Amino acid sequence: MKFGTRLKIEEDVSSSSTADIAFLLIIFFMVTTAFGTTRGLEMTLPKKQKVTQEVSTTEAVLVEIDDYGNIFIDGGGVLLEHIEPYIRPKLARNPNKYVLIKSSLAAKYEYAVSVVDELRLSGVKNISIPTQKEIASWGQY
Amino acid sequence: MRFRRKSNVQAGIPSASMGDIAFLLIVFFMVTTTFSVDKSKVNLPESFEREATVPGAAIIVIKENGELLLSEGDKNPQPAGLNDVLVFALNLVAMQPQMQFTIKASRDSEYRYFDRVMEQLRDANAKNISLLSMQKVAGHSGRGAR
Repeated sequence: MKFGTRLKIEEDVSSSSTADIAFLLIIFFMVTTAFGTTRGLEMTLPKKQKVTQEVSTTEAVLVEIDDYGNIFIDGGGVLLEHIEPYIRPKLARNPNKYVLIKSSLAAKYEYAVSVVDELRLSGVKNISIPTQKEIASWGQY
Repeated sequence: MRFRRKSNVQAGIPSASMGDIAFLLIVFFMVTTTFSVDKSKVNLPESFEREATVPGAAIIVIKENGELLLSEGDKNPQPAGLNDVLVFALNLVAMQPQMQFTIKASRDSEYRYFDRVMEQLRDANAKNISLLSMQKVAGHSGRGAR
């Protein structure tokens, strides 16, 4: 008696389309990915109180920015990189030193961000960015 | 004359590892992907110090010309007037007092727009604010303040 020979079909899961599916997914994620655009400078605004915390302008350091991005600390013109050497000794004496940033309304927004960044790097904890309305209410600028 | 038989070895580029590489790339993109509701293109300022913002924060987009877009965090930003921020922020703060606001302002926009937005956020009693920025590279001063 002669048995029929078995068919030699190899069983295998087809994986040829795996790479295609994977590449489709890659394209999807590449298109939807937004790299690192959700990072920035954190700020905490003071709580609104009936009795506002008075920051004496004589005790605080005043950083002013003019229309063209020129910086003046306590009245004297400086470069951005000179802020740190000016601030450090003051912080050594008083680590909670307040720094007020007053930018010209016509100045570019990036100038103010550069100054905030530089002050943060210098180790200033109390940075205050008063709005024009607040400055007007002080009545001394 | 007798020619030599051609070799039967077939030339081919092995593609067995392609799937593995592709899946590695998928994992990478899956991990780094953040589905941002805000797709507005804004030329952000640069800063060395950058902290991750809280997902789901309200977004205030200030374009170069002072145009404003507002998003509650889960919807596409909608165009708004410069004085609409107060009502927008008041509603959000009433629902969630610790609401995070992300300001995405163009580096070339005038400071007056930022000032106006900050004033209204302060009036609305907003506490946590984040100023979006790009990473500043050392030695490259960019076009920042001089």
